[in-house]
Amino acid sequence: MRFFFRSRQFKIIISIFAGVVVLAVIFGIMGARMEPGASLFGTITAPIREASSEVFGSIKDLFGSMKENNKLLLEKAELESEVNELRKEVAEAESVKEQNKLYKEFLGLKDEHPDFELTEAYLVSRDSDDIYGSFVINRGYASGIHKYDPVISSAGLVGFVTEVGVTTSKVTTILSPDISLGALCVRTSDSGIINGEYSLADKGFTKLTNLSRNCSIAVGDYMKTSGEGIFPEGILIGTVETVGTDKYNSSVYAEIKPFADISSLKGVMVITNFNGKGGVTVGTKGSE
Amino acid sequence: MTVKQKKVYFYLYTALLTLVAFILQYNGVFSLKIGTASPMLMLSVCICYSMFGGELFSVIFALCLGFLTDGAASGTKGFFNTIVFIVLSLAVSMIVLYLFNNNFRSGLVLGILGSAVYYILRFIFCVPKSSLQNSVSYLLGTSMPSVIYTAIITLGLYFLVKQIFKRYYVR
Repeated sequence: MRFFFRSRQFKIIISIFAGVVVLAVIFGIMGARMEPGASLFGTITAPIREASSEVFGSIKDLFGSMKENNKLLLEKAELESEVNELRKEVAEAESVKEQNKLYKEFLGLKDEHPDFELTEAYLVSRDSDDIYGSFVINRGYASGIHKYDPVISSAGLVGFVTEVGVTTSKVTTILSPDISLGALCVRTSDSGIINGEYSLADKGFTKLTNLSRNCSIAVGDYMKTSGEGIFPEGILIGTVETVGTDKYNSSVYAEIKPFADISSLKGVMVITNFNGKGGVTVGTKGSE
Repeated sequence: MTVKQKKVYFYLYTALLTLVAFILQYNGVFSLKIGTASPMLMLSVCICYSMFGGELFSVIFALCLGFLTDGAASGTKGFFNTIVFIVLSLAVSMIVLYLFNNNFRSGLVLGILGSAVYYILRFIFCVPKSSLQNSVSYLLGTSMPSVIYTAIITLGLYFLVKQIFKRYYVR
């Protein structure tokens, strides 16, 4: 082993390692863009990942349709009994219709926010071992994407861009504890801060903290962005699933189910510009 | 089979294995996840090749795997995978050359150790930590099952990579 440490091989290995560490430090300090090596390989492999996603998607759909045929027969019988129940639910649907009306109003983001500059992007890869649902999209700084740009889907807020390459970017979702986002209740205007939490991320939920003790937030309330930090105002986040009191400091918190189904996203929109962007740069724990 | 043909086959199978592992890991639709456990296939490939390839080959291979992984992984930061893969590949290849015999048992031990080191480093540098309770839950509920899962896959890959090296590798 002593000879190995004196050998030319060892010197080459140390040089490679030192080179990578120096690059990592330099680009870690610069911070704004994905490292050139990673970006280059990300760019090269993006079509492979997109193609494999398509292939696996098709296979999944094929197996899904085969299963579907068997299910249909069973479902036919079930549906007949459900028809009667559905009649009763028609009355309830009227109230849901009202909720949908409100929801649609928020979905028309572009109409409401003409200042938004949106870039459409598709998911090219997802880290299966990241429980917070982060993913890579097929747009980078060549498409005008910048670090901390908010990412939304047609349903609501998804997260923000954390690393930008030439043609790909990494997105951290609202399930991550890395996010710290001001939120407002649509009905009561109670405000709080959205922070992801490990125990909730697995269920696809996130946590609303810093609520005042006399807040009147309730299950079913809609939450939207307050406009503080890197996110524009008025983007729907999700619904309140439970409201509780923290057992350690007796503060009030709520579990939020995001409108965007983060585990099955395929297409997203990146807000590359909006009125007030750049006014405040702090809004995520990672941005300091 | 000539030496040239062997070399071609060796790099062909290596590229194919890497590509399959890469696609399975990062295709975005299908994953090998079981519950909270998710294997790090690229790490398994890295460890297995390090057990047979010698120090320099292992480090260069780890460098390529690391760049590929960092280009696609969304759960880690910057050059994290590249650095960890290089360190682990050098450590594994040196352990196999100077300390352990290269056999099934060392494959198992190095698979577990390598995965454990990777997930601990990942927890330290890349996982957002909100509270102690959540950190412990993450380590026990996600990292530990993933370490075991990755080690099992490493062991399976060990035999495959052993065959590739036995039949086609020429120093």
